[in-house]
Amino acid sequence: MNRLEELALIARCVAFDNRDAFGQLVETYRPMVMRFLLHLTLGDKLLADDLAQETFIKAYLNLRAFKGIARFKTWLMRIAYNEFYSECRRTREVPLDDSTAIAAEQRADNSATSPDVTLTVEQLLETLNEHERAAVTLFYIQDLPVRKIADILNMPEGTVKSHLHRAKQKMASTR
Amino acid sequence: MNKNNIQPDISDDELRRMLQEKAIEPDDNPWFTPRVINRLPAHRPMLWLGIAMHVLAVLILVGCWVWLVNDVSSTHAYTVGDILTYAAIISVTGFTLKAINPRFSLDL
Repeated sequence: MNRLEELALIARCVAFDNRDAFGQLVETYRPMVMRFLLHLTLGDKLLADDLAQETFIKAYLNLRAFKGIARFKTWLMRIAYNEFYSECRRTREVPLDDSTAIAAEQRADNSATSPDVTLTVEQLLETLNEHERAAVTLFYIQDLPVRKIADILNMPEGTVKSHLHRAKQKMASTR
Repeated sequence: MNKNNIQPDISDDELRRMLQEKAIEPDDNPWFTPRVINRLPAHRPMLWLGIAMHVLAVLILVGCWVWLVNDVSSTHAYTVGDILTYAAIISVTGFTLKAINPRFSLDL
């Protein structure tokens, strides 16, 4: 969907409360939002589905506030990340720190005798905290530039780069 | 050595390729969109209706001003009623402009 089509659908939603137009936006962006949330939730499909629904509902409720400066998908991803982060705080998820990375490394050491063990992306992302997980997902899996990631995560570009660097080191220590 | 190890000096492109190969893909879910739409709140007042009413108010005001300018430019004795009518048109214009653009203000 190009930017003009996107803006036309948004205008129909805002001016006429056209649910069909909003449905088209949901259909278009659902895979992207779900992919992002699946990686953030380490493959928890139920949780990712719930968060994705909340994301689109929040987007609908705040559509009039969307100024069209950034692309709609950037704005949507920001809402998705905020929903995930709020969920983490609600469930009091302990941000992963170095001690957890060490524990993951020790766990993986037990499988060191199996050279053909394939690490899943969930195992790699498990050692990262929320910010690092989001940065890795957006940069490496969804191929977004650092500038856009900074916009989505609402942090400076330098901080995004730090998270990516630290994430790389943590994932390298996972075996 | 595990061939799937991520080396600390791995390049971004290689890491990207590795993670994209392992990426989790969402399942097709035909019920997702209907569920979202069903959870949306009740239909809200049409924005276009508000816009149409503002346009109508502006057109009526323009008509009043055309009449006002014609009346003022014609030579006749002004009554108190005329002055009150002119004042009313000016006031309503100010309120309407304020309603259309809340940032409008006339600092006297």
